[in-house]
Amino acid sequence: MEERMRYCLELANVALTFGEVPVGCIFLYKDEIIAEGRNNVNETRNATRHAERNCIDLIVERNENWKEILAETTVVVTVEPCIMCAALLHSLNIPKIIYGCNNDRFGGCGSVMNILPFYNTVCDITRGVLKDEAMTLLQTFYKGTNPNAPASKVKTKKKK
Amino acid sequence: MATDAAGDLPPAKRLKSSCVPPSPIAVLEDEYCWTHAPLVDVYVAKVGHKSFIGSTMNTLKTVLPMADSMAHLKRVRGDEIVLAPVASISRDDCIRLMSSRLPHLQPTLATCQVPAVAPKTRAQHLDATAYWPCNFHPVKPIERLLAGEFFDVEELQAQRRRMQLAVEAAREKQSPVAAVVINPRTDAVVAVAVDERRQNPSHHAVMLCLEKVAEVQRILFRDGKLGSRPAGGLAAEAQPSVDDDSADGGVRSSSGDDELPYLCTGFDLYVTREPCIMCAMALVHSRVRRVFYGCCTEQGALGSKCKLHRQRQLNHRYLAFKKLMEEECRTLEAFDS
Repeated sequence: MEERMRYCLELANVALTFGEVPVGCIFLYKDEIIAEGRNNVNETRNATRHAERNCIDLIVERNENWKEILAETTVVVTVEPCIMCAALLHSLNIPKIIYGCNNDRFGGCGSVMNILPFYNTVCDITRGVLKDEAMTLLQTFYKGTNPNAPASKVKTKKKK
Repeated sequence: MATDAAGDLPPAKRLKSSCVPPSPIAVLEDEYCWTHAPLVDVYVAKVGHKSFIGSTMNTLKTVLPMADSMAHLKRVRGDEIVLAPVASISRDDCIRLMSSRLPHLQPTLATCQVPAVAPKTRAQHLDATAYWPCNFHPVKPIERLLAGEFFDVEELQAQRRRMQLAVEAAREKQSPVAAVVINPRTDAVVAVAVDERRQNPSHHAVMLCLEKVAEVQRILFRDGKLGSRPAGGLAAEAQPSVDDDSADGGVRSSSGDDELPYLCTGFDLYVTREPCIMCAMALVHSRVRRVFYGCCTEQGALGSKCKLHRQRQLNHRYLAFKKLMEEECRTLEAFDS
């Protein structure tokens, strides 16, 4: 599985070179890659354009029976899926998720919340595959500053 | 339904007029929601004379300091003093301490039920102080939210108008859900979308609205109408934020006119039913200001299953209001299949 994860890390690296949060992801069906994706939030100005969601869109576009396919698909992703993506994956009965490092800011598989109990499904989740590499990529990204974010408002004492 | 009649009255009379629409209900953190204080047992002793309260309190500060979790309790009530939670010290140890270090306390040790958590609202304070005096600092916006006095008549009417847009969009497309994004500063409709999850599992009405907001902003930035902020910056969704708007989740008004649009900052979303976890989190990522919804859903993440919009670990929070035109929104369930 490390080999698969290395491929995801390459996708994450591509995201990084485009100034995106470095997260890469593949979807495996019968051990074949049926979709690959990365974050493109900045390019699209859409904060919901995460790697996992982009993969799902590809699969839905290409397959009429996407529901059946997804219910037998393994997701490999460099970073723990955020709460939004985890919700989407669980709602599609994805049986297996393998991820690298934890997502302390947004993680939906335990880091911020574990949302699996909210869904009537089972999901086998493997954590920590090549997590140091995934984390190093994230750290490289966060060392920069975000030119798209609004100026942070310094907290001032309220006058009463 | 609201009418325009209220517009002719002087402001002071408007609020009491019969045509004021009912306020949607704020969905606040659990700590604001309890009506009966959870209780905990504490040891209480009496001082022989009230003039000894000061010196006894001084000694207590060192021998039995109050835990932070009990900081909401006033330590003294009349001639009674709270010594410690029953769970924190044995009765014998407590009596031993009293006889060795607290000579002005009477030797009988009573237990008393006191509020286990701090009261956060006036109503909670009233309930809690029936057991024991508590410290309390009212937060004005919270009190107005709880009392349903957060919005004036114009706002309440505008909210219904906007939800009506969503209801009509859903009816037109025969969809069970629709959502609308509004820029409240200009009253402009930024996006409208209905549920299309049968075509694509992530195409819930909220997600499609966010897609359309992004589309509008891509066009505006591409055409250079909004300055030249580069598109290839670091991602918004992952940027830790400590700014005021996100910390108070839209209790105060949002950013000024001088700012370029950034995702859904300062925008409000109206949706006919309570968003699911995916949509609620997408709204966190998009930094929406407020969410108004019609009816609650079993899988809802803004009050039913959880209160995702108030999760403290997340870098953005927003206000959520439920039961705006609940009846009309519920009729859309007929389009569920």
